[in-house]
Amino acid sequence: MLELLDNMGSLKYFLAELWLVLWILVLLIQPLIPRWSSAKISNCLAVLALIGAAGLVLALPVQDSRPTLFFGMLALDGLSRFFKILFVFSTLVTVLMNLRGQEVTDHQKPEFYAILLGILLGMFLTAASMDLLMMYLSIELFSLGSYILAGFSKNENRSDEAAMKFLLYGSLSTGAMLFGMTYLYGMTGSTQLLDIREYLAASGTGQTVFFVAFLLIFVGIGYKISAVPFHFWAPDVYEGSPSVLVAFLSVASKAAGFAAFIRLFYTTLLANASEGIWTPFVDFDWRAFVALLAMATMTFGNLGAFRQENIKRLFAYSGIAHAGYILVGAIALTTAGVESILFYLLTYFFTNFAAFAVIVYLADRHSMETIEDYRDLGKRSPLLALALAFSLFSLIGVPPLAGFLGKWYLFAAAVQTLDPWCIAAVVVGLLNTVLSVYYYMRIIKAMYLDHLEAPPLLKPDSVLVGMAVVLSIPVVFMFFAAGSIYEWTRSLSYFLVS
Amino acid sequence: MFDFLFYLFAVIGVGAALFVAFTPNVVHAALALVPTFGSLAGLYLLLGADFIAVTQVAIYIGAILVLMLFGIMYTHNIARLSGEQVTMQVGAGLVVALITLFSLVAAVISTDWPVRELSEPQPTVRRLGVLFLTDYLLPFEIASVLLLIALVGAVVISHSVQAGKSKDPS
Repeated sequence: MLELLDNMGSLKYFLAELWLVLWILVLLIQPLIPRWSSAKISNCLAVLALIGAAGLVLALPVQDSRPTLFFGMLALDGLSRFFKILFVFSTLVTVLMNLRGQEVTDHQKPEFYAILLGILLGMFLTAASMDLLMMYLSIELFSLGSYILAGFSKNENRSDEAAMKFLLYGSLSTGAMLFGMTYLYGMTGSTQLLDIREYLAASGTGQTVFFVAFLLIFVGIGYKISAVPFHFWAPDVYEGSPSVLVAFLSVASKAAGFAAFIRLFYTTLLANASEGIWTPFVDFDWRAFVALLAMATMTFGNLGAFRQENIKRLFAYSGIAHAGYILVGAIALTTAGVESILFYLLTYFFTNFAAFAVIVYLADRHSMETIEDYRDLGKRSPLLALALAFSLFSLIGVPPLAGFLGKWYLFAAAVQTLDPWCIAAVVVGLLNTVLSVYYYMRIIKAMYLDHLEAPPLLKPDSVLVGMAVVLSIPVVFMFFAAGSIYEWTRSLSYFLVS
Repeated sequence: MFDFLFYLFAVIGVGAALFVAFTPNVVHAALALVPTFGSLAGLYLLLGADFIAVTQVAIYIGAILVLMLFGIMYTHNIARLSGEQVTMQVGAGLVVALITLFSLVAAVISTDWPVRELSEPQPTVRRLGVLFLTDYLLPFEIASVLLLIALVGAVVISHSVQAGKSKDPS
């Protein structure tokens, strides 16, 4: 059934990744050539590289045979395709936001972009990995890049602290993940996910070691999606890192975590879907475990956001809460659950980037990072305030905005199973939605109801204002095409074993 | 003989690792990594993994450890800083550590591990080389991209420290 491609045969499906490596090298050489060394050229090269990569990803031939590349290292399926599209556009948006940014200084830009492309490459591979070794390497590739970029800010002490915390917590959690993987390898004798799946399907039920192994692997993945209790890094890293990187991490890094989550756990732990329902091989209660984590993640994320004055910290907690909502889709253990996770990530992409276009603009150009700084934004920059207000409403889940649609599909997928854990998680999710209104509304109140005598002027920046507006258009109008967009994510939600 | 050597290396490895974790002196900690890494190399040899044993010695002891010692030597006042370790959240840390220890030990003990008879050791270098260029070509190449990114990152970080004059007290 599965087609195994060798190294040479795989190359034609691997063009986007090769392209990225090429441009990493170009961006590293570019500042060495005197006539080319300006930041403008780095910007152009990075945008070109990403447009090319986006084209290559979109042009990737669809294979019904679902081949695996490089002797079973990578999968070529809908799931990897969906995530590659999400990642490449996240990176493109990030680079566009950074075009005239000052947080990353001009002479740092070539390295910034080169490492960003490296992160993108790591994420591409994460979404496609079918082998524990490959998955570890690719997660490490994008994590390592993120640690480095977190230290790139002009605000040096905070940025150094962020990078250091990110690195220390991150190494610990990937260490735990690697340890869990060695247990799996020790038991099954293979690093290939499909072999592990076969082993578990045949005999592996009931052994404690598998529970511990998957728990340890979840430590690494939970860190990436900032699930409680592995979320402690998020507020400090979000506050200290360059704002553009925070925007990137909040969407792409979380999505990469979920890509690894779906790929790893659905491939190894769950039996083939019959009528869209997955059943676990092993008899520990995986669903209860994820449900508890999801509920804790939502609740702690939202409670943590209450007291925050710094907008980036607030968004860190908001991101934690949203990781909790997304995990609800994973509790369902259905194909609809996977589809709703992908759809939610798509809505989250637009919503969060629209919000961050505003946040980056204010933080980068005007050093405005607290809620107090946002006072009277409604008058000072009506467009930005409107874009931010819509994305905040979307994050709350006010109908008919994109965030509402995402939550609707997620919670509907969970409720359909009629499982008590799913119902409980949805109830907690709804209560949390109510809770979250408070802190999102604080920003909106500051923007529209708190008036200043003489508000300081804002320097116009066409790129970022334009991006905020362009990105918030899908947030507002997605409901017109919600059905067909959901169909599109559904068409890409198949993966090797589904 | 095999069992004796195994336990000997294991005790040395774990003992030295504990010393690394608990000694307040950074230089001693770094030096205590020598027996830790060395005994690991011994374990690899016992299992017939000659290439990994050699790289373990060459890379961990030969390169990483020496680099760490250089790092310590070039850091100002490292001798005076040592010993100022503060342990916070002892209770919570202890609970988490004990739970982790308990579950790991429980998992190892309760598991029916697949055990294979030790075969006559074969030289592994050739087989590894073949695998690196066939089945594991992609991870091998991606590892080099990872190292490239790490290298660039190291240069960028050290460069930005030099560029930020305000940060250097000297």
